[in-house]
Amino acid sequence: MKKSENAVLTVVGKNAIGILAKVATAVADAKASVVQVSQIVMGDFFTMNMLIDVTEMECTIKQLEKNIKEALPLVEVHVMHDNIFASMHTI
Amino acid sequence: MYRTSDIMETISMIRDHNLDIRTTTMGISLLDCADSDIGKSCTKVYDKICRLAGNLVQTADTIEEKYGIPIVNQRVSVTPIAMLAGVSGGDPVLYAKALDRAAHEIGIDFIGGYSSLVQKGFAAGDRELIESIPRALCETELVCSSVNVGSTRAGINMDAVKLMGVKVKEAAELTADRQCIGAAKLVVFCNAVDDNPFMAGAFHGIGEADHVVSVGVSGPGVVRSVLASMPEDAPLDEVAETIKKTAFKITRVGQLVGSEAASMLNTRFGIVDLSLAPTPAIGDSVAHILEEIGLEQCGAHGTTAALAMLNDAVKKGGVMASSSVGGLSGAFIPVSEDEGMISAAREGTLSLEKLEAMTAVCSVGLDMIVIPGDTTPEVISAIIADEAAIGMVNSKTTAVRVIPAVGLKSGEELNFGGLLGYGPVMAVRTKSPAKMINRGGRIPAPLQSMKN
Repeated sequence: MKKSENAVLTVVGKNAIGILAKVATAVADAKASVVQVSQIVMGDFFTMNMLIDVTEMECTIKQLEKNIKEALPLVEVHVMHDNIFASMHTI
Repeated sequence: MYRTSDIMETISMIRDHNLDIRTTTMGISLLDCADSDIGKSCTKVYDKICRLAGNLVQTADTIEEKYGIPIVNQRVSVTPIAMLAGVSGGDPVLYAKALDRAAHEIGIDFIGGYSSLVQKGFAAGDRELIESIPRALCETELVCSSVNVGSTRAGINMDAVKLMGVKVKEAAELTADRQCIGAAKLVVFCNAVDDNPFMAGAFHGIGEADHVVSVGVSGPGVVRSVLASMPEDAPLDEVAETIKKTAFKITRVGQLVGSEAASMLNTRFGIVDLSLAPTPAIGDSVAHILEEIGLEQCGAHGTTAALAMLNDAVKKGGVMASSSVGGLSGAFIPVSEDEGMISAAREGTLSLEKLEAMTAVCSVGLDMIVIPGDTTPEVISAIIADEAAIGMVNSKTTAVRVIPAVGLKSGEELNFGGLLGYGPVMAVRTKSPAKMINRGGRIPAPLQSMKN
């Protein structure tokens, strides 16, 4: 079995209807799957972290980030491989 | 799942504060390329480099794409060429040209190892190689050269020091039409390390494996921004602790990238060199870290103490983060590559003497310092001797990379462009050390006990 690989997807910006839906659609279109989501809305401010499984993903992480940015031009989107976070924040 | 603050910290380190992998450097041993026919030897050198490092650039691009972290340079370091020149005889510049062709072919930024280790004396090939350095640097584009003239165990080879004063000057003069770039690619070391991935001083030591991949991580901007977010009155032990934690995180990224690159290239992972290596880009300055610690400007009294703390904290964080920390690992202070150092030198706050004191407590030495074009070879040799003495006595690596700016006087500026930056010509003392330098011989190795 292929070793599973995850990526961390973050979205920060002004809240609007459908942000999570658009992100989830882009993730599904790329054949990645959602592992975990945490989302907080404070006033007008939207912040979301999503852990996605990219083992079978059909595009690169960079391409997924680009796709989501195109779907959500008004918020800040970052997608980065989980290994970076794991190496920095765990001993 | 990680805490949101951790996620945002990582993202802002990379996107906003210039955290990058400064270099992935493949070290390649050329010992098996030595041949008594210099033509055959050069062909083997070229072929081996192209065969092993052919995919280096592509691998770095793949990792950069996967992790979203910039990998700025790809480089190769090789066995000191003086050893091959000793076997083959002939004009060593032919090796420089073979290295340069290989570097262009595989698309890397620099190739290091046009080097000679003469801390105790000259062996076959050493003198010929050193004599050829200015020509080699003039006739090639990507080749970097280094010479080790001293060590704590061997003392300082003052004959080599004398020779290097002349060669540094010649390297600048031969490339006077190209901002004296020859001298910027030439480093004179004391206690040179075998596994340094940073140019211009990288070479592949003879005790190393056949081929390894090492990485140099950087991140002065990250450290500065973390310190900027601390309270103004935080005590220095807290500042050191914060630097240490930040260095830990930076090194972990280096370890990740290095081991991944090594496995993709079917080679072994060498070391992570955690050096705070500045670039001329805004916000990527070691001087600004020192200023954030609490100095009005780098070069003020207190700079040496602040730098000593910074350097030590960086090492402690790095050593905890990876069991393969090596190279130079510390804070670099190359004047022309550091925006804050450039301003401090322009304003006269930072002098050559202060820089010399700083090198006693930090990584490497007098680096990328532009000196007047009419500086005599004896004065350059004496600068090298002073710096080597600091390294020899303190059991640390020190180096000199000064650029005599042909035709320029103190206060004027030389601009290399790119990562090498730009800098004002700094004043040197002009009283002659010629009698001492012309004595030649050797400064004996220092006592290792009774250290006061």
